Amino acid sequence: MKKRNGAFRCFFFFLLLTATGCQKVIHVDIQDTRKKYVIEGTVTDQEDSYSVIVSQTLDVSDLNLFKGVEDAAVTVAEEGQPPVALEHRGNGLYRANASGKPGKTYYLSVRVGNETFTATSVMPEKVAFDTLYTTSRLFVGRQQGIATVEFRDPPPPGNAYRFTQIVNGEKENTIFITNDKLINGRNVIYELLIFSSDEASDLKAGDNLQVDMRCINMDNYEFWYGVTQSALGQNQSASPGNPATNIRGGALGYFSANTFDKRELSVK
Amino acid sequence: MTIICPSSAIFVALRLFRLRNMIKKTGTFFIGLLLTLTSFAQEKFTLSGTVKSAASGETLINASVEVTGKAAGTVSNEYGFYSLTLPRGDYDITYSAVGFEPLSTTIRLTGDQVRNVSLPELATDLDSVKVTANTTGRTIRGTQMGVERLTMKEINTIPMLLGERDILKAIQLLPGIKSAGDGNSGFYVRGGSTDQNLILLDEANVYNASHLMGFFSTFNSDIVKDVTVYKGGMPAQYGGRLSSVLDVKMNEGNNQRYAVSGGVGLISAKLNVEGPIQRDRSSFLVSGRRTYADLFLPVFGDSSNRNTRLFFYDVNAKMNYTLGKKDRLYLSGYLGRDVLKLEKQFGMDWGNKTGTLRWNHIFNDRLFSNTSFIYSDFNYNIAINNSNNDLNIFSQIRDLNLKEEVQWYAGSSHALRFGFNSIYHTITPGEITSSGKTSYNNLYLQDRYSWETSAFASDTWKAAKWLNLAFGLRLSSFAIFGPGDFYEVDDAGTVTDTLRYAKGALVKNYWNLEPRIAASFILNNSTSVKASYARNTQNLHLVSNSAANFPTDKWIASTNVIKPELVDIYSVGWYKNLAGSRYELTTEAYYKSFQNQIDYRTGADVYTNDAIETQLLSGIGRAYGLELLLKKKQGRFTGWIGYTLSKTERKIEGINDGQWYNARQDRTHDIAIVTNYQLNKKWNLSANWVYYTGDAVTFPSGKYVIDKQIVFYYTRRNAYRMPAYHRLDLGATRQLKTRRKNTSSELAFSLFNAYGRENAYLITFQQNEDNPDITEAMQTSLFRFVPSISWHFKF
Repeated sequence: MKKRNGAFRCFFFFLLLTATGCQKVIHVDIQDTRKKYVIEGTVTDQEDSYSVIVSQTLDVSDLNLFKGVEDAAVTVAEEGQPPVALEHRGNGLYRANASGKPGKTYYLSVRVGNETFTATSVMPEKVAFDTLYTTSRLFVGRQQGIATVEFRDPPPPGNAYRFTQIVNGEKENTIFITNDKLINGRNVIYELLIFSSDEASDLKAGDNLQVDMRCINMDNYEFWYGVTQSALGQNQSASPGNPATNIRGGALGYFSANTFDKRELSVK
Repeated sequence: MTIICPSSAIFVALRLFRLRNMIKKTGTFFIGLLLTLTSFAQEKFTLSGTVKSAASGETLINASVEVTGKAAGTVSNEYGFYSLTLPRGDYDITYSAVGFEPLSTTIRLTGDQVRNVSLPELATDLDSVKVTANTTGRTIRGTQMGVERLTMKEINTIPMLLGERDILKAIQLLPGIKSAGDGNSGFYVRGGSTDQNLILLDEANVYNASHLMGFFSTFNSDIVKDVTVYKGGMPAQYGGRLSSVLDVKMNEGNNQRYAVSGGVGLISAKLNVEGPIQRDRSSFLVSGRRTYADLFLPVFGDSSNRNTRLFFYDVNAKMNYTLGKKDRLYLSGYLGRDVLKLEKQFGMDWGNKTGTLRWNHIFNDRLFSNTSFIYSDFNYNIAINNSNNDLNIFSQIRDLNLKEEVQWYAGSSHALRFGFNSIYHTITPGEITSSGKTSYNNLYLQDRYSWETSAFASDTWKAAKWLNLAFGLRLSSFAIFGPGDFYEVDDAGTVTDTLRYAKGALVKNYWNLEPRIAASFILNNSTSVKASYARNTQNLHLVSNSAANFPTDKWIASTNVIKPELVDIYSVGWYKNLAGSRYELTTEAYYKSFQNQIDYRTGADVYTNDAIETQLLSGIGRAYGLELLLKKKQGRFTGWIGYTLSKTERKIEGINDGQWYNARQDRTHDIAIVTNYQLNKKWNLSANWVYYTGDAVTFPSGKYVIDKQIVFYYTRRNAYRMPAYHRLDLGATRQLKTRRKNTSSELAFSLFNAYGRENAYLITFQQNEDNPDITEAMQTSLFRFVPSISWHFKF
């Protein structure tokens, strides 16, 4: 439902545009709260792909300098296989040189101090990333190049996708997700629309554009949907809150077994 | 009730004691009632008729009919009809209404008599700036509490954003009715949510009362005849919403002469044409309004604005016909539409349609009946279109409504109302369609069918000179029908079972009894104490995943899982007229207890889920408060000061660990000062100032990183506050010369937010642009120093 979302943001953008609005930075007193562990675990079908980042929350007023948790014991197990211990590579990043397979179930375990967090994720079947190109059109007030991907959604329902756009090695922060409720079984043309008033974020000739495509399961889709709806600091949502996590034991974040593919091009 | 002095409490207690004796004497209330009805039939006669405006022939609502030297009297009903039963004799009767010259007449009552009266309009020259009737809503004697009635004159002098006169914005200046914020015509009444207001336009439900995403209301104030808002203790004839009733009646059209009125403002123009079809017997009224704000968009320079459309229009059309002495037919319709278009790629339009056919029949001089057949429809369309893909989204709620109400003026001390109301709702939650050559499949969320029926009866009883009672009962039924799949949902929001129903099969029927009781104790001519209790239920719920009011907010009906919302409202009040009724002081306190309130699961997707129950949580709520209103009604200087002290909380399993938390609309203090000064014949000056505690909001408690991006961590729902809101608006009206009588021409100037307070519309958290290591809170505010000029005329 990325499209729908876009419509709403478009709407909101318009509202701000027409109002004689003004913005200013204000001071808000936020009470500090107990820290929570944050786990971002992924297993993909690529080489060297077991990756888990363990960190903690910061207070809102803190500088955005996130410190990894370095003394965690992290394992990932594929169904029917013994657990693989992940090795700490610095600043909370744990990795193992192993790769996952579509259809298999993966089990995550993270132990920090006397707390244990576990999660389960099934890697969905891989859907091919057919093409990447740019389309040019008038969007939020100016002619823009828009990264466009094509893929064919398989007939059974229940697929979900996440895309990320990387320009000249730098990740664009817009979250692009869709499930197949509206696109089931179709040849899909998906546009990576970025709602930004800042022209600096537009694609320019000569830019190196990379788009990553992940086939994710519904748990992970729900997590990202939750992030876009309620956790990005925009309180026009009626119910800001933490996205649904599949991690048991009280940590934030997610564990996702997903496929991975990417395409690159040079913007003309 | 500590506000009331002890002596009045003793007074009430003594009176109650006497009442108990009285009841003992006559048996039950109802036996007493029957006795009074039969015993009065012989020696009393009834004076009845219709009160109208002499100039336009419009019937007058709530005109008072008083008998000089007696406590007896009545007011005209919503169709101008009155009925007064008195013993044989000679009487001086005075008819009066706000804005009209009173008319006195002597009547020899020797049999039942019909007396239709036409009141001349009050001359507008300064010397006679006076209010003659005490019918601006609140009265000392009546049992009705929590009611406010604003006259169009009051509404038209209040300065408004961009000069657009607006009844919804005006009522938000009354205590207990709170604005949902800048750019939002939603309102909260005594802690209720914005969907708990029953908004009626000529008896038809208006599901979305706002234009331009909430900046303006759907009511064209030029042709509004009467606005009454009930904040509590609703009479039994109203039902279906928990917290308030806003009953708007439109003009019927001048049946004396043709008249044209209208206005031209900065963002909109209006034109109203009315006149007799057959003089004295029938008339019509057609009114249109369109905004043209988008025509100015290119001025702002942005090239995209040239292909952008943003406007609304509305059309009201009415006709009425007098069939004979006893029958009158009214036909009215409303059509409003908003259109938003961004380039060719995004289009959206939405609006209400209503139609009402009413038939008044006077059975006899004491029995009045109205039958209404009503259609209402709210729908929206979204079209997304670009080179690769297209998509259409359509959603609708439609009602067919039959309403019958009989008013029986049973004797000099009883007025009864009874009837029924039956509404068939069809809800199309969402149809997503595409041309087929694109990436999208069609998706149809199931249509939902329900039938809401209620029967009601009430009696207003003048039990004693010092005591008026009103008791009513409403029995409501809400039946949900197939076809469709209904779901059983567990506490975690997972569907555990799907129940399939055939067409017409009954899924669930909710029955509710809603008692409404009110009493007024008249301490003396200028003071009274009132108490009331009402239970209301609500079976249509507005689901919105946004704090702003979007037309895409979705109405859903109760299901097997979503239970009817329920509220018990208790209120007490103390009413005092001061300085010979030049001032009115109203004090009311209320306590409300809510059941089956709806809230959303975090990250709820309410748009594409057929099993919407999986996205919702349910719990209880409570609200209590104290409201003070001091109103000056006469003289060059008029206006009011309103103050509300209140608390509104919710308790929902799954939010804040099941503890009580502040509802978004919880506001401790809310003050409104509304003033108007008639400087001379030409100039009228006005100013209003509002202040309220900021809404309860959820701010993040921490932050973390996911995929190199900052995500916020939340712990408590609504634990923080927006900054306090305050604003001053100024207005001035200059009368221009006109040649003929009964015509007018005026220029209205206004300055919205005169001292330019930056009121927070939105507070967001984001990274500093120059130093992304810093998270900052960014406040967005909307309107500061907005001047306007508009011209209004009436020929």
